[in-house]
Amino acid sequence: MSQSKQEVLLGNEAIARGIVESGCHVVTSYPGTPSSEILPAVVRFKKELGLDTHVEWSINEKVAYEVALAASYTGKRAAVIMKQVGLNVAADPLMSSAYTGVRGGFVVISCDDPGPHSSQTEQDTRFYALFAKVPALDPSTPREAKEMVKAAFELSERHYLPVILRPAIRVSHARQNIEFIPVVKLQRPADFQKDPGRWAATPRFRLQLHKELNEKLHDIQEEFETSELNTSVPGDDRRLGFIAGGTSYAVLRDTLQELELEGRFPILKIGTSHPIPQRLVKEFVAACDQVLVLEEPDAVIELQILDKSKLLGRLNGVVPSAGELSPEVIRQLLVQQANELGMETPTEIDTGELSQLVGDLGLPVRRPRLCPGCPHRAAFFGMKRALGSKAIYPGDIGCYTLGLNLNAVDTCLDMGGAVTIASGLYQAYRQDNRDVPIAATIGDSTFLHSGVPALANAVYNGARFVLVILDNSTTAMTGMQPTADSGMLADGGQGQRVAIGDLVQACGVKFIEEMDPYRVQEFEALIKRASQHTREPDGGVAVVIAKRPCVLYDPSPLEENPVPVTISEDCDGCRYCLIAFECPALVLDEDLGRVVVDRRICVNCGVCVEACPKGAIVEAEE
Amino acid sequence: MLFATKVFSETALALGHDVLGSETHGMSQRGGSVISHLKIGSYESPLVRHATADVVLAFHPHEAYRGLVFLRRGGLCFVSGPDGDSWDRGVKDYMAENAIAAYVYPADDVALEIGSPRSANLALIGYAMSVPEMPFDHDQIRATIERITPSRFRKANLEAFEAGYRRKR
Ligand code: SF4
Ligand code: SF4
Repeated sequence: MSQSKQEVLLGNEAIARGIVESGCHVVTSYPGTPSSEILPAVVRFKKELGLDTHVEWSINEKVAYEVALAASYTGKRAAVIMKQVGLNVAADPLMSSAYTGVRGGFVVISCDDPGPHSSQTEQDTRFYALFAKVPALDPSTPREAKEMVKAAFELSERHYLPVILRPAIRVSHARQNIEFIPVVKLQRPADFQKDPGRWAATPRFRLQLHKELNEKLHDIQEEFETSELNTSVPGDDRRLGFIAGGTSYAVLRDTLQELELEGRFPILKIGTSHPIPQRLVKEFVAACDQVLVLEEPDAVIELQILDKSKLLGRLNGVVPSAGELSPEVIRQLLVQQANELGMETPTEIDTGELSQLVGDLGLPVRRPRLCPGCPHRAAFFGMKRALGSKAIYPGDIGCYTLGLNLNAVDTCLDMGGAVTIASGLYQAYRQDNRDVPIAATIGDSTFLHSGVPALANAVYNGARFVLVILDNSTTAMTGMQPTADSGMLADGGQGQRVAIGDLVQACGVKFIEEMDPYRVQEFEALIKRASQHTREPDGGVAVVIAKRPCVLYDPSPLEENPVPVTISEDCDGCRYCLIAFECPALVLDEDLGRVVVDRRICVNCGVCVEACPKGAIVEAEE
Repeated sequence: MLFATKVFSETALALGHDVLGSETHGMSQRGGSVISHLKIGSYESPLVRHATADVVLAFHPHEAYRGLVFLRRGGLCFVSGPDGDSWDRGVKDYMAENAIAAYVYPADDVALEIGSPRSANLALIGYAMSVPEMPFDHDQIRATIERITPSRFRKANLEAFEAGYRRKR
């Protein structure tokens, strides 16, 4: 082992380290699991090393992409970071910048979420690489991810193209000991060189740029034929070979070892998922009888392989076409292939029996729930009480999607979707002269991300609904990143605050009121008034800003003003509060036949006093 | 939980081993059970496959039931839970058949008794370290706890660890 400094880092922190070690000047991001920890780690290293790297949480991924891209126009190194569905938002500049090209190294880091664990789709970032005709690198481990960041910057500068790095969740959220190497200090004074045929290309020039892009991609493929990013593991038994990339490669290696098959079959590891080294792959496939292709979450390498006659993969149903390729799935695939070749694999405990036994125990399955004291719960509860279950409740992306559990979220499409779905629902019902109350919810960060144009559109086109902006002063779901409304910057500095209320007003909304949702009765009355406004002759969209900091982000108001509760003898165990309110700190004591407060997790918010129709939950006497 | 993983990964690193592990973030963190995987030695994938783990540490009896699936034949399971035999019969048979040794230790009560309820995980780790089959030894783990605990919790963590190691009831 070498003597240099090592630290156990999260994959995302290793990527951040790679960014900093590459001398990157500008780093932008919009948070989203599994990518959120990269930018904060860049901030950490920037501070430790006294660098002047520009870091920013941008309003959304498209904005983040373009800010970083412009830095690359000036010759600096830049990186933009997002989750895979964020790349949908940034697809517009991605496609165009592939044509214009870049100057300073420009790396697009888009983290995939096979499973999915924390996303609305299992989409594969690498398809965007094919679509936009840019290269994509796919690391298998945190260590490799850090190396690939450097390779990506160099590749980008050799060919003047954006390069995608695609870590999957098992890389981003893995931990591994990582070696630190000294940071490169790149002197790159900003120097934007005017070249309208490129940076402002009209369609006529675009054709030229497209041809140029095709040539670049061709050169890159040539380079990848001999690149160290693609490696092979020898094996003499050529009845079966493996082509694998990313996390699947890592799982394959460990599982082969566990099955005592290590070194038996040849493996081609593809680190350059696009373009794949066609000749290398062809030679590899030619030497094997059959080739099992393992990659996640989709068949990107497999689709690029021209002759598929020997392939076993997703396209012919050998590999499952949805869900994570977990170690259990890969083991099963390997055992099956080994058996078909007449080989034995070591026997293991059959855990199926255990799963059955444990399943029968009926252990409580704890589904994700809003935290004790969460202001969103109070807001949802007040909304439901005001508008009932006939109203339609479009929701959005964030912790508050869990309003689902309270039947206060009926749709969840994408970032900003609450506002547009509410508009569309209104228009559809209005056409039939039907008055159905619509109350949408969106978080503060999500509103800033893409709710603003949606709201302007709603006002402009005369939609009518209640929009509740759940403003908890932070981006809670992804780890408390600051929002533009707070004015706090990514590195802790103070920026210029962009107030949500001002934006709502600027969108032309006439009804705007802010309230602490903990005041459940008043909040309920406010929602009723807001709903009334949507029905008045000169009414329109009504916006309610439910303002109260996330309890994890800022517990101080509760520490200063605790409202401890207790449950009286009046509780008959009807479970109403458990279902309609679902605070994890309220639990049914089966023996007592009534609800009790779990003091270990109760945060003394006092909101549940409103949740019992029988008045059995009361403020505790001091 | 993440701290418990860190105790082992930092010890391994200090002794010159490679470490690789995996943890849960995002939506799955809001409630639900959180599992942290750790592999020590030369590995590529951070996930521990079912039926291959050497040791499972469960900080609640329910988590032990869920975690058992990861244990290999002959593996060790340490559970924080009340004294007394409360295992489900079928699961108990499964463990016996597969030579899985399960140790239940009231880490929560012990930690509470010595006045550091937040250090219950350390008491369970201490208890586990009293079993000779565990990787690393008492001094190595203790040194790591001393090194990585923030100073205001150091005394409590060390006390809990030692109480567990002495199998205090
Ligand atoms: S506290 Fe009220 S709502 Fe909850 S179970 Fe008891 S009686 Fe029902
Ligand atoms: S006071 Fe009530 S609602 Fe608030 S955290 Fe405690 S039990 Fe939950």
